[in-house]
Amino acid sequence: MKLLLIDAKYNGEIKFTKEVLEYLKKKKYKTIVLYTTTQFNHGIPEILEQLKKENIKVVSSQPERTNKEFQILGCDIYHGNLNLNNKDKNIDAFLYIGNGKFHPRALLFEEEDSQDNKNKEVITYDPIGKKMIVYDKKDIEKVIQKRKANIKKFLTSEKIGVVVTVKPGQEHMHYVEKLEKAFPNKKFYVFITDNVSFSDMENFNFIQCWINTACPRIGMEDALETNNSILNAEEALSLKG
Amino acid sequence: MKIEEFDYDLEIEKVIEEINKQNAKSVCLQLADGLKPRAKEIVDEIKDKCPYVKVLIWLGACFGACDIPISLTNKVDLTVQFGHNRFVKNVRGWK
Repeated sequence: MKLLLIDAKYNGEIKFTKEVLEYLKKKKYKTIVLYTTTQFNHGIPEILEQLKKENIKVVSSQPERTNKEFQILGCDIYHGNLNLNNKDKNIDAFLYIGNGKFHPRALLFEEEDSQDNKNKEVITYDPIGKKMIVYDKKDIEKVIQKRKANIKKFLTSEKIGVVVTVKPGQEHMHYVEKLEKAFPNKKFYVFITDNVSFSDMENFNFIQCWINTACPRIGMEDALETNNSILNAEEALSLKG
Repeated sequence: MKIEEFDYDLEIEKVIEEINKQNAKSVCLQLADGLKPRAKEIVDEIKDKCPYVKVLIWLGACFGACDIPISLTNKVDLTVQFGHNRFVKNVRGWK
């Protein structure tokens, strides 16, 4: 099976409205980090031109899993994934061009993971609806609270289910060995699937806590959709010290 | 709506070219959520240009280029994902 990827570039105008520029001015933002998705990446030159006129400095990068500068993916959620390499010291906010909450939340999770307590806001601009929405830490608060509860559950559990997917882009079997080494007193049971489903997990009721090694968003917002405790492998491994 | 009037450039000519290049007899289309309502026009256009090709639409989620239909590996000749770009996997893990 061969794979062909089509960017599906947006055909319309990609340009900030006055509302966005006035908001940035009102907030006195001088330096921002700019990201978008593959649908809008070709509009970046015009956006940069607009920001230059407003004397706003733009910092960007090519995050770890992308192949273009300014592009963000939903899985680059940990500090360091953005590859900003200390360029983020004087950043006032994130600016995201695109629609939906999926990518802006990735930036909020990254901010939370950076633990610098700055939790910069994410200003989003949707060129299709010509609409601006601003997100901040409040938008991921429920996820953070649930994760705290799941961390407690993991630490007090002995029988752990590790979910590994066969999808080549998401398969991370190596986490099993790392977990076993980091937590020698716990017993790890490895589950393999091509689609992570919470209802499938409910059949294995001897598991006290689950560890996700597939898409990291499963251990974030998706974890709110189940009564089971599920934690991303990175979160679990960060507890070993 | 005609495919050229869509908000997004779906590059159907590129898809047709790839079908011909691969001599594909079966194609699976995976669409980002926002493009799913456009599946009809995409299938109609491909069937119009390549009537001999069996075109399947992936029903489930497709969150990114990491999310390929591996269960179809030996069942279809070509998968086309609309709305995603090449994904760079970090073999060490997420961090």
